[in-house]
Amino acid sequence: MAFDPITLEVVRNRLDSIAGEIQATLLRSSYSVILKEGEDCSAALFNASGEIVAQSTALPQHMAAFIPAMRRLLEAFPASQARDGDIYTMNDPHDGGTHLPDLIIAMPVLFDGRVVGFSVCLAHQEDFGGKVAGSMSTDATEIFQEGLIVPPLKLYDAGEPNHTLLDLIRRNVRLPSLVIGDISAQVAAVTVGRDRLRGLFETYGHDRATVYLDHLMDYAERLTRARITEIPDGVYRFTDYMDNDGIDLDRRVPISATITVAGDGVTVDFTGTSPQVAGPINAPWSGGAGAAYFALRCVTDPNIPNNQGCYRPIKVIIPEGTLLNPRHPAPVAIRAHTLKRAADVVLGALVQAVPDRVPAAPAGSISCVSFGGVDRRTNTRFGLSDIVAGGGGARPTKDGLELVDTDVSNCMNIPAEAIEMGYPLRVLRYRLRRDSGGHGRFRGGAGVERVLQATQDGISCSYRSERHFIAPWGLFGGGPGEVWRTDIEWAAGGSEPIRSKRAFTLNVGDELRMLTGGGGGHGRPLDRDPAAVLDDILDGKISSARALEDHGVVLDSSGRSIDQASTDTLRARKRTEISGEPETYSRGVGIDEASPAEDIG
Amino acid sequence: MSTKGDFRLGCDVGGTFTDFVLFDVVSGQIHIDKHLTTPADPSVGILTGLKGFSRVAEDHVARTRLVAHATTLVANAVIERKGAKTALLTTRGFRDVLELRRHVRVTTYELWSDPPKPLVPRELRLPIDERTYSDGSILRSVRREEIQDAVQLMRAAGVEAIAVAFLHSYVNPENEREAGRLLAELAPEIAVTLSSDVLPQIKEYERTSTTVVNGYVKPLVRGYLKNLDDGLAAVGYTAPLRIMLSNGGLGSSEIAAEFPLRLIESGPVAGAIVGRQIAQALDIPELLSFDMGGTTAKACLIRDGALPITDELEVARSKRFTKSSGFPVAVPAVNMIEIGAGGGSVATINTMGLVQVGPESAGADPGPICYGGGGVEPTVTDADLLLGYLNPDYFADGSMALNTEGSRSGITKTLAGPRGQTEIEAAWTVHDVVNETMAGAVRMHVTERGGNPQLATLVAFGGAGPVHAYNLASKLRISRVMVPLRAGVLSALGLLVAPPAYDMVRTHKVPLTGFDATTIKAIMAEMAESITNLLDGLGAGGTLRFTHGIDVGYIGQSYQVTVPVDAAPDKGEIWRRFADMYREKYGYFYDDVPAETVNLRVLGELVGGELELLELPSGESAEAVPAGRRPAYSARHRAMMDFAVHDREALRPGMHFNGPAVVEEASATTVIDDGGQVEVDRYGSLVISLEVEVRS
Repeated sequence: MAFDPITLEVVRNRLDSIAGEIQATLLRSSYSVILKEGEDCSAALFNASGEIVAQSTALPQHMAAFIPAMRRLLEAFPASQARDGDIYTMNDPHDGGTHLPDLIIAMPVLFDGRVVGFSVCLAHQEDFGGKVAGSMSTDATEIFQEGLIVPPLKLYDAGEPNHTLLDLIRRNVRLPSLVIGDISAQVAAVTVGRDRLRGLFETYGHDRATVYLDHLMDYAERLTRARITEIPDGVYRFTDYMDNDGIDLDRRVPISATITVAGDGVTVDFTGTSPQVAGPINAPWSGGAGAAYFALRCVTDPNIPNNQGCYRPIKVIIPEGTLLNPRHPAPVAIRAHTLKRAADVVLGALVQAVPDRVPAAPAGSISCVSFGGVDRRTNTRFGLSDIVAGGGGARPTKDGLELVDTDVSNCMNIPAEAIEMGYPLRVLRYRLRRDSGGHGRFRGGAGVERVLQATQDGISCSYRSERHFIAPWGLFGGGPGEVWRTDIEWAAGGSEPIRSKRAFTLNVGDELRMLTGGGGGHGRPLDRDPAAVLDDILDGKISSARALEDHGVVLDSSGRSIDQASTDTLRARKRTEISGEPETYSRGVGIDEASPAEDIG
Repeated sequence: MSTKGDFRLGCDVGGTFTDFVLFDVVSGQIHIDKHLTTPADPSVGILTGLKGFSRVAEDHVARTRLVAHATTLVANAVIERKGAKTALLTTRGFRDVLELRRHVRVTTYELWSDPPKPLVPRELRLPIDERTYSDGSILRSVRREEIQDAVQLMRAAGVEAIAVAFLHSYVNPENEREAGRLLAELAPEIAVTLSSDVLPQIKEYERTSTTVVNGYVKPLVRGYLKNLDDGLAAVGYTAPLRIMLSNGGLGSSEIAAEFPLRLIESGPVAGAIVGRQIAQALDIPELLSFDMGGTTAKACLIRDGALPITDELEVARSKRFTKSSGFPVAVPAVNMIEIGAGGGSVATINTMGLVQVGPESAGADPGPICYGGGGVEPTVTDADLLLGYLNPDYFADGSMALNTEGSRSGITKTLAGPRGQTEIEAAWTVHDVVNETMAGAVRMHVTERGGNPQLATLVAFGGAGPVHAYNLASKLRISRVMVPLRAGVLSALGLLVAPPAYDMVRTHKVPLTGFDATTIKAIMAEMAESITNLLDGLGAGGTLRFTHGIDVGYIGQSYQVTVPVDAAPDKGEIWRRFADMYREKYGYFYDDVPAETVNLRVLGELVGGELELLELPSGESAEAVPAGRRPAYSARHRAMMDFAVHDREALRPGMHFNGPAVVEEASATTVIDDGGQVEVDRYGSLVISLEVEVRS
């Protein structure tokens, strides 16, 4: 059959826009805040043999999520038996899923009586049962505590809804009408995808359309291979750590990756990563694979069509029974932080291969704080999840971004006014945290100070974060970013630091004081443009003490301009004190003895 | 030569050209003109352009009763960061709201994209020790001494504009107003913007950003308006000057001077107004207006004759056409999608070896290769020329001869050669890829609004719109395309049909269980009074008509539907309509989940003075006779074939013909492929029927 490159371009755009449309439909018709504001959902189109031909992943942590899920659904429901109007669903993390709130829904697309593909979406449900509201407990030790487990099942059978399953879900979740509503939104979304993909087959006919889908994946593969060839061959290793698993708070948990680049292929081997742990930071296989795919997409070319062809050159090895490939019945609910670290590890190793394409480590966490209780003003139940980010890593050519969600997640914060309007909490401060970005020729982005205060008694609170102990690394002489620090300031007096994860109760006047981390710095601080140092001082982003100490920048008596002569002298002297080239990584506190952070005020 | 009657004058100041339309109210005659824009001071170009109409009537100045204009000045000032040195007063503890944004990143997989730097550096963001709580109670008042200190600091820094955005000022603006009073007293020379005046709405980042943008452009816009007003007065204009606002209404120069942020979409929105007029005149329930110019294409789905309104406008995006990469300006604006696809969009081969078109544009300088202005990169216009869609000897009313050979060698060198295609294949690739890009964006725009593109009528205009409309419609499976007369300068005409209008939104976040009709009625009456005062300044005739709405959503949900109400809304009625609208929009409804009012909306419009679409004398049904023939590319047959060439001037209402054909008029060329059937309607519009299979 004649192959037409014009059609290929058109088909590629069409597929991307269909995947986008599935996601847009889901967002438009969903109800929950986590979908509307957090966009914690993704969409994909598969071909008949279960390969991704296009996807719209708002959160990169979902990049590989569909692969094991679709494989399992195809095993359970062979394409030969599919009927128009069938819809499948599942969420079991130990059988192809991610974590229980992520419900995966897939619809076969039939054309001329045979399956030509699947329209699929994943959405994080606000609650899916289990021991705590939101189904994300910090101390579960078995998957059974985390919520309702759904094996591969039919949600619709030839257009007829499975009322048994829907009733079962309704009974097992805390917010039934909301969850059922969001499931309806998922159904609407995959139905749009089904219609559009079928439309594409109607336009081009079965054989041509199939050929173009295959070609697109081959194209993406070819291009990814070409970009991998540009990466120097070699073996690159890196290890980073999780603070703890939420159960044993003093035991750091390593994640290791060995990346082997050989010609046009890459192997990412997570051997050396911690065995699976008791607490819920274990992450099913697709999470580690997604982190690897994400990191490689960042250093190759983000414009390559996002289909399974991109993954063919990348071999991911994750031994069973480890943090990134746990065995049943390991708990997995709060795996998202683990995936952020896995992305750090892969990017960290790639620094050795392509130093000009990888930034220093970002702050490496996002504090998730769930508040719940009964609002005394209205006598109604409330639930709120606050989300607080840190700074971005400095880049080889410019500073890191102040306060930004990074790597495999990309959520929005909750406005202070919305919190005060809707919940018995006050926001006392939300501002940049001075001196939190790693110093360097290019500065790591700053984290923030965010302080919330309870305005009534009896507010239950669950805090989940990371990098309270292990600092985000700087590169090539750039300093590490500041670690995270969160204290509970009791109204009655005294305060307690939280060791990354904790559940507790706040009463009136108690404050939760969060200081989020900064990104690592890049390059030697003495090489930073003094004008940029001055800007940071005037903006109050760094202290003049630090400017003097780290950057060797001296201000004149006005405090508003640089004393150039003294700066030159000081810098010259400081340079003589440094010998040789800087180490690749600056790991900062915690890496050797993993001691708790000093009080940074 | 016209001899009597009033004129209305519209001018659309674009990035390259300023389009002028002079409308003779009595005869219905429309005169059009085009002049180069003068970016340094656009008022110069406007005044020069106006003089040109002396050819129509020596006394046109004295007889002009309305000057309406649209300008990209405000958006460009923010994009090019040419605004005033601006300071921001914030609540203590919240100094960095502007810089912290909503903490999302601009691109998912790309580590190098940054949002634009805040318009106010941290040094000029001054925390004030004041606090209002969410229930409106004032926990700490503004102290005079602190404002005095701030003024001293701002003066020393040479600040030209001040924005004030305190927490919860949308509930109780007292602290902001007190700060405003003190600033007016202590620093009367500095322009002040209060967030409670600009956007009394919850969400501190969006409100602060909006307030800062307003402050940042205020001195500039005031200067520009003064020059323009003075200039118009000097040549004898007595007509009021009106400016297109982002919401599709015309505003006075006073509104523009006080709330210049309302002008962000002033330029693009005029096209959608024309779409609305056609939808209303012809009773088209779903109309997709499609305006493709030199740099971008704009599309807008108009349902039931109403402009869609959004509060999610952004300006100065660092990553073009990417959400969350610009400054939010959360005031009501027409919800349009803007795509980096125009006649000047450059075609390149991307890293994948595939052809990519846009978003980079050759603009007007150097422009497409065929303009002969030094452009070397092939553009959409070059491709359209090779495909036979454009006439090299009759472009822009014959004012510019196109260099076909230049286009041919550019496309061969950059695209056809490396790809092993013929020049025609390469040109078709460019045309088709840009159409697919637009189709994808349009589908998304329509889907996000819950519509179905296949049910819509596509109305095409702008310089490049009618060239691409047919093939775009066919991708979208749209079966009807309309191309109005004077399609190339239609936006300027849109200025003359827009009513003077202003709208306000105010947060009133209360559970429906605690709904208090008296309070809401009082607030809406107050809003209506403010609007009346603003519109009074327009000195226009017509009747003032108010439309009220309440944004209602489930408690905890961040999306609402705007429920239309009357001036004295009733709770039961609101719940019932909310249920109906929610179900229609989302397909289901929860009667067991509590809902709340979030925002109150009031729109005031001066109606009765609009222009009607002019009907042309009807002719008899007749087959149109082509003026000539030329080869052009048929998408259907994937080959060059013989197209009929029609002269638009010769087409009269009632005439009909079939594709393949091109229709040439001074400002635009319309392409119809084989299979298309064309009729000329009573307004002179080409109504094209496509053979597509319409599915539900």
